[in-house]
Amino acid sequence: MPLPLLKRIVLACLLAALTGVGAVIAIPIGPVPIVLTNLFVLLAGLLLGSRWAMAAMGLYLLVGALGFPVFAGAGGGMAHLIGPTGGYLFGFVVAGGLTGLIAETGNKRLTAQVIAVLLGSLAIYAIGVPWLKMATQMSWVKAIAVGALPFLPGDVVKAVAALSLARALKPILERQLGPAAA
Amino acid sequence: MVQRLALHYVPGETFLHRWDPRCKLLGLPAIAAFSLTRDPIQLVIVSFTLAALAGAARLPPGLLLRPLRGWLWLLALVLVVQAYTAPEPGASMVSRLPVSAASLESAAITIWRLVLMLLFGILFTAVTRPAELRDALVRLLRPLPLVPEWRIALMAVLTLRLFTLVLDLAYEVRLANRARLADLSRSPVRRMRALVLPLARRALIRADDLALALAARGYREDLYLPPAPVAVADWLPLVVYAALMIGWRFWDLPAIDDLIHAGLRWAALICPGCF
Repeated sequence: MPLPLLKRIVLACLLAALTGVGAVIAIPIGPVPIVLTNLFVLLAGLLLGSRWAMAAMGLYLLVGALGFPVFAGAGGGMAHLIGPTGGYLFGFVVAGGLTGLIAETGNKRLTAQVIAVLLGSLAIYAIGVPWLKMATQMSWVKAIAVGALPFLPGDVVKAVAALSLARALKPILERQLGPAAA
Repeated sequence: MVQRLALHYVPGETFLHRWDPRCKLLGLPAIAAFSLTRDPIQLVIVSFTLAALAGAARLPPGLLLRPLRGWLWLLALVLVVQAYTAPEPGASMVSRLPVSAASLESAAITIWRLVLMLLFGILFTAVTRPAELRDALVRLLRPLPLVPEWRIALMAVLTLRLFTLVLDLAYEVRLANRARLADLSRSPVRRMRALVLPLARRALIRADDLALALAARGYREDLYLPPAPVAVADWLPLVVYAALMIGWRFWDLPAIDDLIHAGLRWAALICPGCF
């Protein structure tokens, strides 16, 4: 197998692993500790591009479904995927792909990357909130109040951090994969 | 961490442990779909099915319920939001709480359904070995065109390897940050950067080493996995379950009530003192 492809495969695995670790470690900010899962989802899109970011997030779901504690609160197993918060997990795949797609077409421009992380963050809720509404049979207002609004301030912080980190890590990736590939 | 990983699968020799993981994987969404009903009678039947399966799996007592602790906050939140609806004029209130009896009943049924879905997922993970599930996924993915099943299996194994590695790296970076007082910064973005940037940088270097090691060992994807057809006995529970689901979907609910009452009448005939 060609080395660049092998490197891409390992990088996708690394981003999936980082997303899992992001669900386990939390940074206490104010009274509520925030987990870093969404940060790594966006980072996967910005660093790997749409195709490999989707592969990384799909892999994250697969490893979680196998029962390893990579979901929020060090949880794992199919219960998380079919449970009320399963939509957010499936939203990660879409968010990674969308963030990567917009960042790729934007050709490294900051404006494109800002739009990419914003739309990527919203994509998670676009799938997670209707899923939560369907599973709990709440009204739309309640589902949004419970499943989206409390997390939006934290997501803004994570989106800013993802942008900053992507710009700092891109040179390392370019050294590893070559400037054309990264 | 090892203890935490080991908690997910409970070794055993029961039918559920031996059941083909491909059938379990296909059966789980079917059971989850059935738990979406709001009819209490059907929920009772699903609950008894779950209890019977948990008993048949001979799992340690409390194993199914212990992981639910992590979900309690969400269940409590859903219960409060569902129950706390604007009281309708004339609706019977529960004690002095601004909650109507109907909304409380609806909230309780919602929680019941959610707990059933979670318990089926927990049971599935407890009786399925991760390696078996990985092979099952490879075999299920194999017929799909354009899906490299061995690559997916390799990636799953690598992700687990990197997950533990990154956890160790995160611990080291946190200790280093504490020593440098970097975790006391007031800016959340700066605190996140102080943790994630060195973590990701070190992880990227380790990942590059891993890719080079794989290339040096001549990794290839044309490996042979012996075919393992699903036995007829393994399909049987799925077929019976699908027949039940289709039957109940198209029968009127009173028919199910009649069925239960008929069953109770028969049970009373067989054991007159019991009813």
